[in-house]
Amino acid sequence: MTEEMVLELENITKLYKSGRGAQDISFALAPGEVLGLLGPNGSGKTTTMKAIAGMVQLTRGKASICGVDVTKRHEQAMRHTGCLIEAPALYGHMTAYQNLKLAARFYKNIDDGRIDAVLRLVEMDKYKKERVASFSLGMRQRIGLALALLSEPRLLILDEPANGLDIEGMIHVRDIVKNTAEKGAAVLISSHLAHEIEQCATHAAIIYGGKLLCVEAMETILTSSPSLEDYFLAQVAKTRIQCGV
Amino acid sequence: MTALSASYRNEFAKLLSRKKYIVFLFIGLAICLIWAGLGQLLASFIKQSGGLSLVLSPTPMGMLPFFLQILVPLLMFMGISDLLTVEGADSTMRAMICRPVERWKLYAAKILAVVTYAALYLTSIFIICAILNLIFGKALSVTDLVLALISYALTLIPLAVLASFAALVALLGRSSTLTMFILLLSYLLLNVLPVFFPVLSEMLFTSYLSWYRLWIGALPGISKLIHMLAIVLGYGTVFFMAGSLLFDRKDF
Repeated sequence: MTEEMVLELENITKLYKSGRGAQDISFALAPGEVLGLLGPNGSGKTTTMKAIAGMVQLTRGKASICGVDVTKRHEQAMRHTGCLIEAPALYGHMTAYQNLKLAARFYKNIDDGRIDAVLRLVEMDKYKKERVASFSLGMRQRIGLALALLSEPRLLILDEPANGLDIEGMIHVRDIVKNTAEKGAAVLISSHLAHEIEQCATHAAIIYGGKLLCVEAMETILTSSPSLEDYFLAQVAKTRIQCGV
Repeated sequence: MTALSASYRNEFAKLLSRKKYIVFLFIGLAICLIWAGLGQLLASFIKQSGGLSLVLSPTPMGMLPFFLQILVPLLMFMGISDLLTVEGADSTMRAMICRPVERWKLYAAKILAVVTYAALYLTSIFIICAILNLIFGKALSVTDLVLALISYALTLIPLAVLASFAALVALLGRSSTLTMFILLLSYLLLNVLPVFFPVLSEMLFTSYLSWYRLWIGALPGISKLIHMLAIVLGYGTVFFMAGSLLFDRKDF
C-alpha cells in the first residue's frame, strides 16, 4: 500500500452481537478508482462502509482515509469524505436547503453558491425550499447524493445510490460517479445489481457472508467472464463448495 | 473549534426549526400575562372591598421558581430527547456523525444547544416580567433588576448539569416516549427524596437548581460556596464524561 492511496483498509472487522457483520476486510483505493462492492443482502457491504465512515466502532483492524486513521482522527479523516449510506439521513421537518446548510457549516469554503450547485447537479434546485418530509424516496436519494458531494470529497462512499431512482436517475448517478472519479476522487459504491457496478466501476470486490472473496480490476473480470454477474455467481458458488454449503 | 461551533449552531438551528419550542416560548410568555391579569383583577377586587391598594404583578424573581423547577426542565428534557434519542432512533444522527467532527464535540454541542434554549427562554421571561412590572405601575429598581439578572444567569449552571444528566439518560433510551418517562420519573424522585430523607438534600444535584437564593442573599460563607460549587461541577463532570464515553462507543 502506497502513500497516495485515498482509502486503505487493513483487516477491518466489525461484528455485531448477533455475530453478523464484516470480517477481515482489506483493500485500498487510489485516486480516480471506482470500486464496486458487490454482495447479497446482509453480506456486510453496509457494515464495511459504516466502519469506514466511523459510524460503527471497529472490533479490530484499521481504516485510513488519505493516510489519516478514521478511529483515532475522525474529524481530519472525514474532511476528505462524502457519504451516502443506507437511506439518506435527512431532517424531514427542514427544507432541502436547510439540510445542506447544516452539513455546509462544517467546511470553511462552502457557501450558498456551492449548495445551489450541488442541488442543480442532482436536479433538485427547484425543490430547495420544500420540506424534505414531502419528498419521494427518489428525491430524498438525490438530496442524500447532494450531501455526499457537497464538500467535493476525495473519497465518495455510496451505498446503493440507485435506490428509489427512475431509469434517468440511475443513469444520472452513474454519470456523477464517473465524473467524480475523473476529477481524481476515489469512489466506493455498493449495489446488489451487478450490471450497475459493471457500468461505472473500474474495480469490483465481492463480499459474501461478511468476508471479502476477491478484489479485481473490471477489465480482468470481463476478460475471464462474460459479465460481472457471471463472475459473481462463479465466486459465490466456489465459496459455497469450499464451505461445504 | 470550527467543528464545535458548527455543531452547536446546527443543533440550535434544529431545535428552533421545530415549532413546538417556539410555541412553548409563547406559552411561557402567556403564563406571565395571565399571572399579571389575575393579579390586577385580585388587586382591584381587594381595593373595591375596602382593602389596601396593592400592586400584584409578576416580578422576574417571583416567576423564576415556577419556570426553573417545572417548565424549563421539562423543555430541556424534550430538547435532549429530540436531539439524542429521536435522532438515534430515526438514524438522522448519521447526518452529523459522518461530518468532520469528533463525537464528543457533537455531544457537547447538543447539550450546549439545549442550555442555550433554556437561557433564551429564561431571558424572555425576565424581559416580559420586567415590562409587566413597568406597565402595572411598579417599575423595578436598578438593584432589583441586577439581582434578578444575576439570579437568572446563576441558574444556568445547575441547568447545564441537569441537561448533562438528561443527555446521559437519553443515550440509554430507545424511544423518545421511554426517555421522557424515565427523565420525568427520575426528576420527580430526585425532588421528592430529599423531602423524606433530608440528609440527601445536600447530596443531590437537583437541590441546587435554586442555589441563586444563596448567592444573592446573605452569603453562607466561602467554604460553603466552594462546597456547593464542587458538588454541582462534580456532578456535571461525571454526567458529561459518562455520556460522552457512551456516545463515543455507540453504533449508528
